[in-house]
Amino acid sequence: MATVFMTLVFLADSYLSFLLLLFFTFVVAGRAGRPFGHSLRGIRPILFIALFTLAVNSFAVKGTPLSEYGILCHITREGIEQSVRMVIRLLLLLTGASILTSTTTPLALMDGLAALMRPLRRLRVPVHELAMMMAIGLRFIPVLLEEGGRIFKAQVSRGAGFTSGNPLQRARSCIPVLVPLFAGAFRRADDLSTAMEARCFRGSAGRTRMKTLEFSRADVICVTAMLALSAVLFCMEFVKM
Amino acid sequence: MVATKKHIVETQGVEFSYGACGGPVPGAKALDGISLRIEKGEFVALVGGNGSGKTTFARLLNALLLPTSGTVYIDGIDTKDKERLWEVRRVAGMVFQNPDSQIIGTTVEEDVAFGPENLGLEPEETRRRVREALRRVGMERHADSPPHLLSGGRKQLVSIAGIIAMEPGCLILDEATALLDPTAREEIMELLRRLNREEGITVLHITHDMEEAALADRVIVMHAGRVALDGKPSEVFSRASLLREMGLDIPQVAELSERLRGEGFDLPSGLLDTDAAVAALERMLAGSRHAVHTT
Repeated sequence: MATVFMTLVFLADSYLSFLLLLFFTFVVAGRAGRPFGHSLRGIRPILFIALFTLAVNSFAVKGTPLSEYGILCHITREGIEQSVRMVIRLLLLLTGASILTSTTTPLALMDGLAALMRPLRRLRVPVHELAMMMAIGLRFIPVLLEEGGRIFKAQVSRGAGFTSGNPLQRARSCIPVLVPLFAGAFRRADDLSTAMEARCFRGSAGRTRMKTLEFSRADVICVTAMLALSAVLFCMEFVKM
Repeated sequence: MVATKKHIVETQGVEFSYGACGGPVPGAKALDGISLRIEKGEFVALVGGNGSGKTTFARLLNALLLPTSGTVYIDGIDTKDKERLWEVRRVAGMVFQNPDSQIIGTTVEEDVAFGPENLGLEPEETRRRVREALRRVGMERHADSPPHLLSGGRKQLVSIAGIIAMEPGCLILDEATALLDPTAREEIMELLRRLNREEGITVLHITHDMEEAALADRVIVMHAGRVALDGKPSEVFSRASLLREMGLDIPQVAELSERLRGEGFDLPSGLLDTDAAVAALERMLAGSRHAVHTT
């Protein structure tokens, strides 16, 4: 669903279709119990990237200049238009992603993916195990981040400099952080596999799920809405030509 | 000798050595002839210095390791029996030291459900057990929290809930309180006592902390792969000099009363509880004052 949405975001070109997409996002955010403003808050960190895109695009795209004189002669109408579209696209993408991650736990997401990949089981792809691996990977991102931060501080307190020297030296100074981090990650993986075994984990055989994913009415509505949105946008973008 | 069902844990002459390249001391015997019986419903503390074989012993009970010689029975099942391996692991539920490397789920609820899901229970039953387990450890309110945002003590409560949800007969805690602060330790100990008393779950608590060990019904001291002492806390901790020789502490109250007895004061041996010690001291002081009066 999110993938379809992303494709649509890239497909859309006219302001009208953007307006439609924005409206759609707004409605979805409301239905998901995440007010649009809430999702927007998550965007703040990338605002800089958005502005940068805006600036670069304004200058880089060739076309009719805004004015004959001064700095303005480098900025083109087409550039501004394109960059505005770009920024809207970025915002839409991120709101979409943030709605997805704030409504769905990684484990549920992985279950969904595993269900989609089920046909691959015929080809002897261990789908369930792959999904499990991805879910565990996601679970340990915050743990590893915390550990990385701790090692970093430990090295700094012993006099390691991460902010001085040329890029090569700086890259080299990361090694004392990365080596213990990896060693720690391996040790943790070992402990974790022991703990999983102790809790009777034996792969997918005989394993049930507490929360089984079911195709409910909400899903039907979602799919229909998505199809309708795609159809409308498709017409708007291609039929007019 | 046939293992009886009355004993949840029974080991007969268990020896274990890590291979030539594994373990802290390659080739050495980590366990050297351990024969023990733990009855259903007991609360046992297992103490011992580093390298005494405590952790190895715990892993044998959960069939994570198999004895080099001798036999381990869990609820009457031989841990070498491959057919019933998962039953052994369900009955002997194990909680490890570091909560960060035993929590698998991305939310508390998902993690507690991991065990029951592995047992192949119906979703309805899993949900019931998860709810029940979280209620018993007092974490219902955090069911949807991501585990990495919880405090260390709470994470360990989640780990315990994850094991309780599998309805084990015996809870083995391998230094599960070692990384926690004193308040969290107390909370865990209280929970263990409650589970033991109210639900009859056998507890085998491996710890470095002698104050915690003093709260158990029975203390087993391991040293160099053997059982050095085994008995009531009051009996075990009255052997202060032997414990010190093995590099172990004794609880403060026991230490104080042992020293006073050493100085010739008239105190009962095996004092552990602070209140009981205070009462005994008061009696002793009252007695001596009385003695002064009569002369």
